[in-house]
Amino acid sequence: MDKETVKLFDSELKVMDILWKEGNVPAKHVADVLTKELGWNKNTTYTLIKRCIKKGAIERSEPNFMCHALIPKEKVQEAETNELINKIYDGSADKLFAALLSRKKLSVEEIEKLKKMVADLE
Amino acid sequence: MTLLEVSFSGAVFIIAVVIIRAIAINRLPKKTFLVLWEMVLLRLVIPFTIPSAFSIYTLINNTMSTPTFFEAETNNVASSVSREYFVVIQGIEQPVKNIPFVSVWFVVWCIGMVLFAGFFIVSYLRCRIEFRTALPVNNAYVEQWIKERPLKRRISIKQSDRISTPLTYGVFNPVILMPKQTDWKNINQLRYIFSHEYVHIYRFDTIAKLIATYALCIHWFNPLIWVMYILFNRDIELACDERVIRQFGDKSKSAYSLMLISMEAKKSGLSPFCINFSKNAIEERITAIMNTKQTTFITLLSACLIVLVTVTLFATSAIASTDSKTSDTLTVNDPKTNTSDIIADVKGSMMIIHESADILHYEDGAPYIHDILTNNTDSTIVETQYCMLAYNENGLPLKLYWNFLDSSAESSFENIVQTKTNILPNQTEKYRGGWSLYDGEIMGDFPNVQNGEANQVAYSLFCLKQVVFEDGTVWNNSNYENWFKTYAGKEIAIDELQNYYPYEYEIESD
Repeated sequence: MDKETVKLFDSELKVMDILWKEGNVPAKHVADVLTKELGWNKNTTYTLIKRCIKKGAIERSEPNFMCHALIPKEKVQEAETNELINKIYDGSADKLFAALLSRKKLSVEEIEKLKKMVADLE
Repeated sequence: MTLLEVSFSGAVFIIAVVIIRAIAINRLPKKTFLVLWEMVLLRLVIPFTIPSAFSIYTLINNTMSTPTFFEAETNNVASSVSREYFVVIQGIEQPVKNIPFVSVWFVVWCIGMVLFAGFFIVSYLRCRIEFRTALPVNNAYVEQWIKERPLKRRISIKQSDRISTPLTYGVFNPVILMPKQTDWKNINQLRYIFSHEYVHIYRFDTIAKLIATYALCIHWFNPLIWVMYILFNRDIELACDERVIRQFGDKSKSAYSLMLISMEAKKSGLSPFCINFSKNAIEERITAIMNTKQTTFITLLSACLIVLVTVTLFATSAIASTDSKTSDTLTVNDPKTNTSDIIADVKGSMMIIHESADILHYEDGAPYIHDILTNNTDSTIVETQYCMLAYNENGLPLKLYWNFLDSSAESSFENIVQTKTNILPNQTEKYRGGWSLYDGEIMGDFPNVQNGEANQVAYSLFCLKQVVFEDGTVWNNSNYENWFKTYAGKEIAIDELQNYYPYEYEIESD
């Protein structure tokens, strides 16, 4: 099956790894392995499997919620960090609302300015 | 205290802390501001207050009360308003009192609170679901570091590619979550990061933030609470940085600051609107770190003093006025007891109100007085004793045959009567019977009393002398004698007669 590349997070790769290694297995088996290996609970694994299905990396077939990898390891790209989580979790409302409004990196000049501040205050 | 009062006094407190913070942020230990914010939070979240003689509100009360001209002026305004009100009462006979206790503002406030609480809860849950997919870290330094922590709670360190800067979550099983890009070989940097997060864990900052968020959801309509929320979150970080610098010594300042800058550079998410605000935050943080000083006896002492003074001034409420004269003087004619203010009265004070005493007529034209009482106390009134006075349309006192059925009765200005009644808390009595007034020209069927003139009563003033409550407690009107002296047998200005009602009795709860 020829597919374009899919962007996956590390946690999703853990799921895919099992499928690449062991071939088609039931979701329950994936959950058992990851519970043993990473201490994840069953729901966490199922959430990740569903995300992989949505991204087109896994195909589900019945019975027993069999999982089949749709893409080979080589076609996977690292997904980019979801900044929003950090902002929300930090609890700092200013950052949070900044994140919700738009995204813009600190410019090189701003970083230089901050570094200069450190040097000046020393 | 109502929510608005709490919110307002909280806002005043916040302004005070913001000012102190602006002046002394780099002069005092950062913990000082955390303590002040925590006091603000207590003020906002806990509904009761501690009265203090030194409270700013006591001081304001003392400077605001006494001047008599001030009262006189309000009285004038009051009478011009309440004359209209009087007419209204006459017209509809009984004022409508059963106002629902749910106002539009209450509904708006509830909706806002649910929306904000919903937003924070959903965000938090989404994060927690995401964090569950974090991966373990296999690193010798990490394992050793965890082993060295003496905390009872088990700390774990995990990594995730969903975040770009380190963070901590969980109260009982705290987890330090590191971004995937962490340079696991850079032990120095790891030490700073872990120590910073460890201070958060050690100080239960998660709980403090949770309480702040709770306060924000309740007081969402108050812009100063948002200021507090933002500054409190910043100050948690500043206090945390300070602790780390103390631990690693002055030499660590630059390295620590540069590490923060490099992490800030990895983050994105500064919008054009907030750029100054967020930039200020990081600049403030770096300035604070670079200026960290060892706590001296002097700074510690001044920090304690500032907290003490600020808290006594702003976190307390005014002492209840001991000047009983103001509470039930006759001249205070409060005309606004009609609609929404009744709600405030019910919540605020224990009060019985004489709403009106109108001269009404039976079908045959015989006059009677009909008075209406509102019971704004928390217990049922079972008996009342009160005095009635009557005046003609010119304000002259009338000697009436109050008990004319017993023709031996002398005519007098006043009549003191006792009535069994049953008025539930917060109830306005609908019908209280009437006191028939003798009118010799109309009441042919009744026993004749002396020359039986036409009744001239135009106004009637009532004053409660004693009230008995269901639980047996008796309230005696301490102002009664005073009232009697002022009105009985005296000519009274029409204006005052018209504006006498509603007449309020403050019930001292003991």
